[in-house]
Amino acid sequence: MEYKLRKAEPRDVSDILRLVKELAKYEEMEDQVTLTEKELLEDGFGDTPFYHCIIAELQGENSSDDGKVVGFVMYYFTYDPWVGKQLYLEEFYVMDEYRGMGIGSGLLRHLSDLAMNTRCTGMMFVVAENNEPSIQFYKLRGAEDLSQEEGWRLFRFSKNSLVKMGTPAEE
Amino acid sequence: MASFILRKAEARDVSDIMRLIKELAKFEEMEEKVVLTEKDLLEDGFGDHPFYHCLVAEVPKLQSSEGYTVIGFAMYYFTYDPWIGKLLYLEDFYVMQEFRGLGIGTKILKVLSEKAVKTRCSGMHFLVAENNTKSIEFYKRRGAADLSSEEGWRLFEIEKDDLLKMTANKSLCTVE
Repeated sequence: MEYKLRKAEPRDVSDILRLVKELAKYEEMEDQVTLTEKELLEDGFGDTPFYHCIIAELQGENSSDDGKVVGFVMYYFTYDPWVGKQLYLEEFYVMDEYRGMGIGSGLLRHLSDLAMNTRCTGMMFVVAENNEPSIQFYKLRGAEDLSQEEGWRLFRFSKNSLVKMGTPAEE
Repeated sequence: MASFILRKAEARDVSDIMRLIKELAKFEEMEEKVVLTEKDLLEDGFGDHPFYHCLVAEVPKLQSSEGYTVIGFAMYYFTYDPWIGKLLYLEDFYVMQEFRGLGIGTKILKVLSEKAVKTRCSGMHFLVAENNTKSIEFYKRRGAADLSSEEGWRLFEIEKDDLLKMTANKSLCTVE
């Protein structure tokens, strides 16, 4: 079965949301997805895109499968003040039944090309510590666990905390 | 008592930003890892497409023992969480030692929080080294949650050499 990789377009937002929810379900955090198609559309395809996606689409002889979106990556550019631009891989997912066909490797290769073309010094991403298959997939390709090696921990201020820290709204 | 102002960084601030980046890296015992140049900072932050934004803290000239006026900064940019949307990502946050304890750090965080809320971000993310207890306390006092602890997230990196290795393979798929 052949597939092609292409830049996501506005018409892909419902597939993107579907795959985001499938990946969240795999991570056992499906109820945490509150993002809507409308937000994905505004945030990814407006004047200032906050993210970019590459879609993996089937090109089967079987016409019912043709054009089916079966995987994606979501990425954006970040900045490391020691080395400069980085490509940040936010989401990376291929539907279960389409794994083992090289789609994941193809997506990662495409991102590697992109990172090189845009003069990024590396690619960063987070992986859940209990996600052994993914950790192996990345380590096989040279990824280093910076949490382990350098002790970095990811922290978050929720919106509530931000509001508390900001200036109270005028009455 | 120092009086200070916070303002958006301008192109002329790149050498001060570079200096403070190196000071923070020194504090983290990783100074040799800073390979970025002022030229990079200028192109990447003040060109057509900024890859980062900076807030700088400035004091009147006579107040600093070494004559610096820019004595603190925060570097940030916007990221995206596919579950909740836009986030403000705090990349670097540093106030020179002699100017700590004066509320500058707190004020910087306040301005960033307001920026995040105003730009409809769902939160602010950042990394802290696990042995940096002072910073961890600073953030936790203000409500920060340690996602590495709570949710098990670990930060990974694939460096340029390994990215290049992946680009070398022949592709079997059509790429647009």
